[in-house]
Amino acid sequence: MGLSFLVPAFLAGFAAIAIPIWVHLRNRAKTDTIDFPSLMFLERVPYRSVQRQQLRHRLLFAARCAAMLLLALAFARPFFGGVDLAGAVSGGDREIVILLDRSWSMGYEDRWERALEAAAAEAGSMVAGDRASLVLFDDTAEVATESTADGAVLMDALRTAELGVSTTRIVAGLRAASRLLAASSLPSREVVLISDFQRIGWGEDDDVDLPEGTVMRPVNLSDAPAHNIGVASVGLQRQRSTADASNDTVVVTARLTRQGGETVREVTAELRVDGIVQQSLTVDLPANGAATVAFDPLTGGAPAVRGTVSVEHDGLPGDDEFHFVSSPTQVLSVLLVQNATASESDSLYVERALRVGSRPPFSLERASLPDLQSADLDRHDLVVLNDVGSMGTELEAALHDYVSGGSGVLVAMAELSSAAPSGWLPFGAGGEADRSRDLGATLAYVDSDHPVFEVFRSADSADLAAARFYRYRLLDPVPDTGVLARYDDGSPALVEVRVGEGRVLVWTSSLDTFWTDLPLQPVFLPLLHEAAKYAAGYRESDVWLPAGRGLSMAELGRAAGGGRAAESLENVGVVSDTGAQVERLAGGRVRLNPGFHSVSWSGGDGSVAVNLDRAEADLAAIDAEELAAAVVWGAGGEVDSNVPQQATGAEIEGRQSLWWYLLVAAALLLVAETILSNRLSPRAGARAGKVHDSPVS
Amino acid sequence: MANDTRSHARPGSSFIDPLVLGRIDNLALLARTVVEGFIGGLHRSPYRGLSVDFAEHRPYVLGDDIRMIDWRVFGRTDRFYIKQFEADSNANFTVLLDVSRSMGFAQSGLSKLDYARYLAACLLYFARKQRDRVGFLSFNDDVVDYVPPAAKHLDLILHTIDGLQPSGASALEKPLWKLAEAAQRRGIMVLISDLYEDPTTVLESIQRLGYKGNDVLVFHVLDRAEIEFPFEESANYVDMESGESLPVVPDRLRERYRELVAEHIGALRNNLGQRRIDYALFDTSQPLDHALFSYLSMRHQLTRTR
Repeated sequence: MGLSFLVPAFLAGFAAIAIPIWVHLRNRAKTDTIDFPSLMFLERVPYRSVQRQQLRHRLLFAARCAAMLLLALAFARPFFGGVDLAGAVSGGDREIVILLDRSWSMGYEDRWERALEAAAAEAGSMVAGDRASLVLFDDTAEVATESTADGAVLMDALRTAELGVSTTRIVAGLRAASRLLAASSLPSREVVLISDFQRIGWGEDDDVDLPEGTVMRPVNLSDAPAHNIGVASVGLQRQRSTADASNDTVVVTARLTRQGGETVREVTAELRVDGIVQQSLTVDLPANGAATVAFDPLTGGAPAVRGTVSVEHDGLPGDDEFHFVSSPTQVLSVLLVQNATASESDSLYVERALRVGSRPPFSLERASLPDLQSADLDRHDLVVLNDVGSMGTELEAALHDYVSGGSGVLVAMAELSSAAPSGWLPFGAGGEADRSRDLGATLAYVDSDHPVFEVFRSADSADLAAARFYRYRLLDPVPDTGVLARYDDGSPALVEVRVGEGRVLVWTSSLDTFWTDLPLQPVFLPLLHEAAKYAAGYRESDVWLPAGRGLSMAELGRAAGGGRAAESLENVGVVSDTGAQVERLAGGRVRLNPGFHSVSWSGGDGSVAVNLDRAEADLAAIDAEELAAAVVWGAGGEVDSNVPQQATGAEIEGRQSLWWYLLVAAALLLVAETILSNRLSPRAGARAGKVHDSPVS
Repeated sequence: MANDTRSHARPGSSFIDPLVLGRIDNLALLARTVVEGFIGGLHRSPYRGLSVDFAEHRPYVLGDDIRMIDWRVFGRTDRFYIKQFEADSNANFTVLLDVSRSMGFAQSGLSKLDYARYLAACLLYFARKQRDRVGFLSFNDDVVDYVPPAAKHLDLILHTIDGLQPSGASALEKPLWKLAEAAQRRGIMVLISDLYEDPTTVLESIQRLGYKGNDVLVFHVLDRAEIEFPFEESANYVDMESGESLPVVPDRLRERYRELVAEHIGALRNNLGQRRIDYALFDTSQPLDHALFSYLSMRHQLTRTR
């Protein structure tokens, strides 16, 4: 236990000792001069009286100096720190970076309070010459206090620190610490990592380079085992009514998770819609397990409803509620255009495939090329040109305008698409490729990162290569960009063309079984759905958005039901229903807190639900020592396990209460000084003798 | 007291407090009735002299001057009576006043010099009322002012006293030696001083006056602070005459200081008493008339015993 100071800057007050020194020196010459008729008798007094006189003045002087010193000490807020030897052990002044985890999982029971106390203890352990920074981190790091030797600054920053709404990403804090330490010239560098050390907070690829010789001191606040019950997710299962879209229903399902070593019975899950309790269900949650509850269907028609599934509050309140917004079912309107000479069977597979769509449901309208009018295009979100051949200049121009306005077109080039340049696409139909002799071509390449093929990316998805393409149309000229899929000879199978704000997907084979057996393959249905949704620019409304992450205007608009128009939104008004301030970020992004928010934009409005990222609810922890060792291993540093004992608030206050005693002592000294000074003052002297110019000093 | 009376027209008259004079006057009348008046108490005159104040008649005896026979009484009684008058002593009454800087010390509001002025003025006034010739000498380590004894010098002396300022250091030897040399006629000499000198030196200096047949009285004027040393503050004490300073803690030496002062006063009293020189200690904190009264009472008692 050594003496440290919260505000060492006040030690500069020691210089005030110069005041009594100056006063005593300045007034020494005229100190206590009393005219006396004769020293004839006084001179016969022993010499020790002179020494006594000096001693008494020294007492007064000492009282004044001591009062000054005590006042300076009191304002410097001395206290007995717990790691006072750290500086000596590490061999000199320290640059300390206090990393304080503020992810929302730190709200588990009293972790946040303990974290603040631990940080305060670290700040209080600073000795003269030490400097410290405070970094708050969750998935990003914020330097709350740059390097300072003033413990009070750190304490102020700690007092204003608040729990965040993001997930833990320890590497973010460590990288900030690395930058701060690298900028320091002090001989010793330390990182104090105060966290619950969640397993999800450290990724396998996370890496950080700390300066050479950095000492890592982890402060692990995780409790083993942790007990928690939360709502992990909410699903909305739409059931479409064939008669009236307004009669669509939505089944809300919620997945409840239990973290802890024993089964919890009769956990109540409650569904509230627009603030009104709709239903409560009870379920038994096994140890470290999960259960799903399904609430009675809700009406899914317009307008959007706000719902919340909640369980009783426990140690981690952040995951006890899950908010969602159920928007009305959005139907994608499709115009299926075919050549006048085509039969109904030519579009049979396309029509059947689109009609079974539920997410979104497709509204299908058929049209023949000679009868197609330009005005027919604008009533639909997507136009499917199923091997229509040449359309004529006027219709091509109308299509160009239609697509440029943000709509989509899916073009299938097959037998009727004769070799001719296109007037509205950068390429036209070329010759045919006949692969019937070699059992047909296969799709040898697909852009799996493209939204159209994203659903096929997983290993257990249907095999696109199973489809055979006996004939396909070549493109002239061959596009070198926008090719999403190729046949095994390298010819483009699916090409994306951007026209203005819209998209055109060109399929170089038929959508029936005449040129390919793709419509007979399981992949046909999802492939057609995905292609249609992508070409139409359809994005399903998010039922909720993550908290603490920067959200773009488009994300907000889309989540609020803005549909395709949301993609181009630049200015969206956001108001939290709780009245909390919405944090605006650079680049027009916003960061939202959990709850419901009203969103408005030019031409529409809606609501969004924001939830904490449930990944953070996993309280499983990693070994803090192990993590610290891994972090400092490359830097040749070390791990200091002698973490200061976490003091309670009362203990911290108790350690810092020394300044009260110093103040009292200083006050007593000043009172004594006043009394002594008054006794020796000129007035007092005047009562006993004639004194000239003899202020007491 | 001084400030109340300094507006009087005649210089020096401010030193004569009416209340003091009233009480002292009574005492003087008593002394004069008993012997020869106030100053007569100091220098008992065995002679009946020529005076305007009738004293008594006594029967004529052989050898009396026949000019002193009261012929009117002879006419009424047919006997010879001698008419006797109060005799004028016509002695020289000289006040020797120490005006050294140490006499300027004032702790209780009235400096020793002021106190000595009042005392001198009172004495001179009474002396003059007794028709003595009054003279005055102020001195420090030398003669500062000297007014030779004369019957009409009271005003001049009072004026001189009024203008006195403390100056110089005190030393009795030289000025008293000069006075002894200058005095042609014996008389009464009253020395008023704080006597910050060795008692032996004081005695030797005063004795020179006594050798000339003068009757010497020593009025030792001290402030109470000089006797009791009531100071509490540790300070540098500066000698008012020499300018030397000495840091002093009063608490530690007060008792010793008092002892030394008491020894000094005792030595003066004894040494002077052995030479039949009257000695009186005046404390400036005491009322002036009370001091004079006490002294004259003591003087009266001494007169009876002599």
